[in-house]
Amino acid sequence: MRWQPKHARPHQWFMKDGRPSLGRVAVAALGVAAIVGVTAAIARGTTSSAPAAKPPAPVVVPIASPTGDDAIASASSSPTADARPVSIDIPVINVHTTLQTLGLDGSGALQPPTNLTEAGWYTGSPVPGQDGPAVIAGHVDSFNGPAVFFDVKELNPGDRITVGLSSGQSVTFQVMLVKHYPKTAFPTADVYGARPDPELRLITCGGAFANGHYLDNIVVYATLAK
Amino acid sequence: MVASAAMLACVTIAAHPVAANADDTSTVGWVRLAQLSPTMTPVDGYLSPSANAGTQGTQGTQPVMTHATYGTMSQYQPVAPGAYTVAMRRAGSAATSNPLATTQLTVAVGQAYTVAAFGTGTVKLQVLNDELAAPTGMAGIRVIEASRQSPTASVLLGTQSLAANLRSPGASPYQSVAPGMSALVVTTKGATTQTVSTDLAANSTYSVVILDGTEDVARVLVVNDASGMSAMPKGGVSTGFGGTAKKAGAGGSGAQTVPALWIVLAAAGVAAVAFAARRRTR
Repeated sequence: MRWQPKHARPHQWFMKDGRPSLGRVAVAALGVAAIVGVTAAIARGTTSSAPAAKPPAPVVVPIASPTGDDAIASASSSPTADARPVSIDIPVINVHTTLQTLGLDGSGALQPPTNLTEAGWYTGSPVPGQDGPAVIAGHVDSFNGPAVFFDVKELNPGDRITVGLSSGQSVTFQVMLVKHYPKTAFPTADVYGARPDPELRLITCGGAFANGHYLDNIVVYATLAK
Repeated sequence: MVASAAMLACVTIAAHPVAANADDTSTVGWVRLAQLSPTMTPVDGYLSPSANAGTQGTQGTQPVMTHATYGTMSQYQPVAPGAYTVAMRRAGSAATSNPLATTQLTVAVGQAYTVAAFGTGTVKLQVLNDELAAPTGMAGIRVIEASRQSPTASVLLGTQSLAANLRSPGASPYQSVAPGMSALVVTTKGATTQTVSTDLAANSTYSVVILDGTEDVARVLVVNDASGMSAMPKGGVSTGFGGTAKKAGAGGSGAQTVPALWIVLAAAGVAAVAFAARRRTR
């Protein structure tokens, strides 16, 4: 087919002198990109300031009253030392699932679970119930709907989390804090840092979604329930 | 171009630093009690909020450790920040009886403490500040000298000095050491030297406690203070695919970003089609 005369062709905003204008398309794309950039900035601004807007209620943790030798037994001789976590139950948000094991990827980041309906325990963290922060991660959603940790962001201080162990025992924690962090400023040492008591960290995604990724991580900090 | 513009926005916003402290990630502090006096009888150790000391609430009426003999440490007790009273009473005596030793401490959020019964004859309770963190990949370790037989002790980890002529009773500062199986070389009175092998985990902290032993050979305990990851993950986790990003409003304005992106993609598509059409028609 031959090139048609000017008047026979429909007029388009991106056409100039009968040809698509690279300049006009580029200007339009720049304008849209600026809008996207500003929108993304607003989205980030609101999500990163969100934690400050809702200070967590203080939790008064009563002093344990272990009796006899229990108080003296060191953590290393605790019966849960050789067990592995196999399940997690969070009744208040109706989470009841088995656990897979998680390692680190080539870049040293925590691998997400391969299963959307199952959470995972990081094998480099303590067994839940042992001293230190045990880490359990789960997906917030799939491509088309909620996943296992969708409602984790709804947890409040005092809510109970029970982890089942391969030994048949279970360990119950209570939520201390729920925090949102931009992934680009994730406080690694805070979240994964050593603790003198048995603690639990639940990690999932949240905040704005852009370029195929959530921009924030939600971290739930929990201590042993009394 | 679009991607770089969006990334620039992210980087600019994310630049502000986040403080790296346990007090950001906790609502409690931690206290453990230690009976480290060689002359003290077995004790029951109590930890109670100072405000409740007179009223005897639920806290403080139960001992944190019972029948604690020389060399015994309790587990760490997570407690709300505030003023606390520690009391050690003769084992088995009433919670209202006169304590053998008592002290006050103020617990700060995210901080850990060891309250130790120290000394011979007149026993005093001393508050030690415990460290939770070591530099990433390292272990933190200190020495607590609580021996009567040996007024001073020196401790090496391999060739690194942890304490030189540390006087009893007392504690050295923490030092960072390489994790793994290590040899503690403990030199006490009369240049008596013993070697204790110990396995130190990375990202964790420890106390080496020197106690009276048999004859002139000290008893050496290695106690875990704070426990961390064997390998600390880098950064956050990718745990979502966006299927609920719109309707869940997981960050309300974030949902608006998605349509905006589609507009860009559509515009690019239109342009591409236009170019292709033009080429073809030639």
